[in-house]
Amino acid sequence: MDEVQKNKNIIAVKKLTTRFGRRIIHRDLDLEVRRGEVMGLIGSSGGGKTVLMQHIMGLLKPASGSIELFGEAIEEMTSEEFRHIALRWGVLFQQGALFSAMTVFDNIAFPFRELKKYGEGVDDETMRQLVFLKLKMAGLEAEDAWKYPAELSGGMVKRAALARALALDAELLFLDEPTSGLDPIRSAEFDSLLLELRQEMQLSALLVTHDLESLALLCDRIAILDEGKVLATGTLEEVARLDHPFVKKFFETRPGEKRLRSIQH
Amino acid sequence: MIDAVSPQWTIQEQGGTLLVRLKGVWKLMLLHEERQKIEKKLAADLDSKRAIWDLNDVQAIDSAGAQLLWRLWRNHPPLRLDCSPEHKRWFERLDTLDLPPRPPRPLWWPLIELGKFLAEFARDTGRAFLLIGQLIVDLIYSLRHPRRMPWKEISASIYHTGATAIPLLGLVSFLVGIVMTIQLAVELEKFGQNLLIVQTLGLAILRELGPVITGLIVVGRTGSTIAASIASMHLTEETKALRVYGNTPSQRIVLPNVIGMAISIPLLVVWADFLGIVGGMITAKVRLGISYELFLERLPVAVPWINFWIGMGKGMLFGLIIATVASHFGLKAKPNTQSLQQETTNSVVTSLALILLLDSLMGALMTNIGLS
Ligand SMILES: Nc1ncnc2c1ncn2[C@@H]1O[C@H](COP(=O)(O)OP(=O)(O)OP(=O)(O)O)[C@@H](O)[C@H]1O
Ligand SMILES: [Mg+2]
Repeated sequence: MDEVQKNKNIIAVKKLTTRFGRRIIHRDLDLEVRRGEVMGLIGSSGGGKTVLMQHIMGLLKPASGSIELFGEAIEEMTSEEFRHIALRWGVLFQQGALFSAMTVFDNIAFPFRELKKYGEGVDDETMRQLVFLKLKMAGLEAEDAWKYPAELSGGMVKRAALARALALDAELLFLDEPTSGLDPIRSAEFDSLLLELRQEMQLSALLVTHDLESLALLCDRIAILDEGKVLATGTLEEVARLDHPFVKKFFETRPGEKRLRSIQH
Repeated sequence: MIDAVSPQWTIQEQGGTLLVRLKGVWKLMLLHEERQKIEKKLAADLDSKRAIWDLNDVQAIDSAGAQLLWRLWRNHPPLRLDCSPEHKRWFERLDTLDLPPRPPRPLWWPLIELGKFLAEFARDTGRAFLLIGQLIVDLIYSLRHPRRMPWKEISASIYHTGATAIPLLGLVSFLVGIVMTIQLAVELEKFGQNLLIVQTLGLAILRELGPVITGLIVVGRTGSTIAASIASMHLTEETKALRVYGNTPSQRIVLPNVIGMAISIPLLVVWADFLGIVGGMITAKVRLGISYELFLERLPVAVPWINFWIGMGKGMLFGLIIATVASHFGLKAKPNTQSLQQETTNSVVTSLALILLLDSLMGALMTNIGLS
């Protein structure tokens, strides 16, 4: 691959294979996400979306295959290099993964404080402002900052986790079902926040979601994960036209929507 | 970075006010030193004059970049700001930002803390009694409905507390037997009372060392595990899930562990007694020249059986204490990792204290029982 091509991709996964015991989750999977692009990732539950994300973030080692982030292979990085590159992405875990012993404020401040240990990062007053800024962007009240994760509702956990993922203004976001568990109004707010952030900061993202709204509004391209492979990538129109059982079921108008429309008219 | 256009600016004077034009990428979050330099230089260039800001040529700006400008503007929008609507969002957000302080501690917080501590202590004591009561209720209930007795959990508890402790406990008791005998042998030889080793060692091991060593090892191995595993069930809301299905932590975890320990610890005490005495016997032969036959012949005469039963009884009591204390602290933990740590430590410390306290109490009360 030539230099230009390399730099165009913020994520490049090649021939990735994952095995848990004798079960194969991914088989020679390829995926490329370009710089400045939001890539939607859909696939059946248990299909290996979360596992794929963990491979890309270096949290889980694949059985074989290579992964490049920002044009560099993560297998070849030293731990210090990896730490630096990891600062450039933010993660929202499917279950939130907030630190239970810390308040929401301290959870969001955590990335800043980690940076400080290396003599980097911002001063305390700036940090405080930025933490509250992120909290506001994620749609939480300022007063929620002093709550502990156990005192939050499920949707609030998601939003606090989003605020933490946004803390360091990552260039690349990994979002694992960010809007599941939010009411439709909140998830619309999330969609518009992500749209704004794209314009403000030239963001790229890998977004796992089953929310058609998010897919339509946010994603430049969509990758469909099925049977251990990326079946296809393309714009919503392109993938929606695919002749494949999972895709057909996925994009089929939902019975509820039909019924609702018949009531409204 | 492909877009590595560093932050730049030009300043023009226009009839008393400055026109500041920003260019480039103002993503400053991870640029530690550069951020400070830019802020200083920009502030110096401005020289605290009023200015009009033009951000139209800024390609991207992150929150750290926006916040830096906002601070230069002393937390107010500048005289005039020209920038794209998406970049303006940063400043609108900063303008309407709430910064509530961390809820302060009142001056008399030591009093409040003390009060909380006392209330907590009272509540804990109450809860401990409730737990014991609940335990008895559960036990009676399970005895009347043997099918609902948590047999599987009990056997798992016996395995984890008992079977897996065998190697470590055996080694420790064996070594204690050896060391005790070596130490005592020095004194006994002086008086030519070599045979007294049988009585001294037997008494010490059967009555005190066997049960206490077992207790300490079980506290460290199993007590801490029980406390931590119950506490972590709060984190994952497993305790609530149990309740939904008509089960309770006390039935599923506390009761089986209490019964399991009451069974397995006495058995462990037998094992500890056995290896302690074997260790002593071997050392007595090497060090004092007492043959195995003589040792074994003297042992039942010099140390009445009642001592063995006292040790077993102590072991059972310790088992009840360890399981109940561990469950108590596990149950009272809050759903966060710090509380989990704290309550696990508390459970170990409390169990140890109770075991040692009860042991000395019983030692004092029963001095005259079981001596030949
Ligand atoms: N640590 C693990 N050990 C063994 N198997 C695992 C592990 N993690 C995940 N799996 C398996 O890998 C498969 C993919 O899991 P994954 O969490 O990636 O699914 P997913 O696509 O994210 O599903 P969902 O949409 O439900 O979140 C599942 O079948 C799961 O059982
Ligand atoms: Mg998942």
